[in-house]
Amino acid sequence: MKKVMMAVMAVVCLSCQPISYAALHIELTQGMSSAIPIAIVPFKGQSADSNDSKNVASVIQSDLQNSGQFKVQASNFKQFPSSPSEVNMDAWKDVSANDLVVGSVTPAGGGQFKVNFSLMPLNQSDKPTVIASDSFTVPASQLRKTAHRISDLIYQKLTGKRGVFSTRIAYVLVEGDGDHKRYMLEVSDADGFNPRPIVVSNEPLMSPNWSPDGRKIAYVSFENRKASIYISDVASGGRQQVSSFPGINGAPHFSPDGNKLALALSMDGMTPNIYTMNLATKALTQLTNDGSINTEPAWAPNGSQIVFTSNRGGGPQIYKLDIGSRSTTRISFDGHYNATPSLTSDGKTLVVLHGEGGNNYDVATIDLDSGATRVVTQTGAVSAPSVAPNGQMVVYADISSGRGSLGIVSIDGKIKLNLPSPVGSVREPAWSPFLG
Amino acid sequence: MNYHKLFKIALLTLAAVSISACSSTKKNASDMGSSSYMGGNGGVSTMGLGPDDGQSIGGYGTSDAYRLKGGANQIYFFDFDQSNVHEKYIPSLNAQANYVVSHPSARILLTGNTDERGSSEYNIALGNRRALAVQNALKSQGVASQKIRVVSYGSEKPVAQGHDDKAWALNRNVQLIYEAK
Repeated sequence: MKKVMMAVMAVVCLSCQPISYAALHIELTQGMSSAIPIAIVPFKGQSADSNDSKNVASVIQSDLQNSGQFKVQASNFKQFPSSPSEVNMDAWKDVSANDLVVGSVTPAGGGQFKVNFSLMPLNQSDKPTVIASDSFTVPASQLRKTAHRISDLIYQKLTGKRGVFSTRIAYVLVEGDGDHKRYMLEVSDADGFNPRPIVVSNEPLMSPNWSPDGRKIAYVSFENRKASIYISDVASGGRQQVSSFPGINGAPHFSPDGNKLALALSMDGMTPNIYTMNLATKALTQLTNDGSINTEPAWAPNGSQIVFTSNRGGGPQIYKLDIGSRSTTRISFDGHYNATPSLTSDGKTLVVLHGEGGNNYDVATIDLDSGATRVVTQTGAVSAPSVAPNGQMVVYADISSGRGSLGIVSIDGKIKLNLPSPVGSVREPAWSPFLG
Repeated sequence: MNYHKLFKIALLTLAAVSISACSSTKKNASDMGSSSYMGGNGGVSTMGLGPDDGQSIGGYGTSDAYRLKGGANQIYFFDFDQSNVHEKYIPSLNAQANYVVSHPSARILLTGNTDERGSSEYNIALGNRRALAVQNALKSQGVASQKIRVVSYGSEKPVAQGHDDKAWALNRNVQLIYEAK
């Protein structure tokens, strides 16, 4: 059987002429019952049109509504102020919203736009008090990005936590049938908008992992008819092969300082072990050395420990290894299957793929202080959980509908979203770090 | 004619022996892929291990005659979470080993595969274990290491596209592919 070997197309840069790719369509399926009511008035200078992807107020409304933590009022206003001085507090007395957002988008010459916003609490005083505001001058192409930044600022002011509206997700999209499948590593905004492929291949791609500066993605590719690890530059599409040893080359994970990669290599052995690679010199350090399956390394935020999946105790469980002393402790105990570990940025919560019995795999969180395990999804057909940089949300792959889609769940399980793809099957999501 | 019948009986006996050997290995309920019963056979219950009924799966034949053809690409199925090679495949592996040993230019690719459930990277390791088990069986029959290439695809390249027990059973496999004959 002659196998046709097709070259991988390292694809066009993200800033190039956009080809229209079908976006993932985000849908909130369960929000908080205690969602904060907030009124967001259409910004002066842009007519209220939620189909206009550059409509700043619409993007902020969607961001905050889809966070599951806000109940957004976007219409039925008695007045349309665009700045605090235009606000008549009497007109807002009967409104149930706790807070009000107003703003404007006005041409600033040279193709640029000036975007202003102000956030004011309602029903607290007779005069509008601004608790957050900012002003941006940007080209039209940056209006959506600016809206996400404003969402981040509002979110942070009202919840005390950093928003992830300006982050991205990477994922693998698989299209086609049988022997003619096409695999794409894509990057989209966290709301599924603006997907762009950075690698296209006729052979599988898996395990994308972002560098801490958000500029690169490491991943596994089978384009050479064996597993190899590559690092691609997200903006340019340029890439380098960093690992193509005999056997398994898998599960790349950047260190917090971006200088090293943890990875799983089997070399000439029967099972993979955990290694780190110095990215400048390509020198390898072996961290585990036993006959069990050791894979899926993930660095702790302090850079001195690595959590990983091992079946040394029988089935897959999570272990924590101290890089200096090489001492290893088991940290997952509930359920017969715990894999794909990642730690929140405060190092306190472990997010895992968790199985308790039968064929069901769901996302679970493990409180590392108490050991308490909480299962936060219920579809039973989950894989590849990846935690957001603010530690509040987890994106994962779900095959329960028959075609792979992504889901997002809050760390406490109370907020749920779907991100189905209109075409193909989506898998292996990776949430970016905070970006620029 | 008689020879054919004897051959068939020998094969069936071998199959029966290996099946009852299967049912004696410990399994718990969660390990069961598709369950099926040998009708009227003194209550022996067996695991379904893919069709093995002569049907072609992804271009691989599964009939007894096909499996014994040296130089023909093969697909071997595995139980959930297991990587031991079933005794029923030994005659087929021997036929392939004999072919490789007697054809100096022959080279084999073994791909290790799993069903889609669970962690993709952990599945790469499970698929690898399965492919290496088949590699060991070939090496024990005299095939040199240089003649065999091993790649694990884990759950990345399923032969069956469904999401049920039947598809999962088909996807737990090692494929033996002649890269050169």
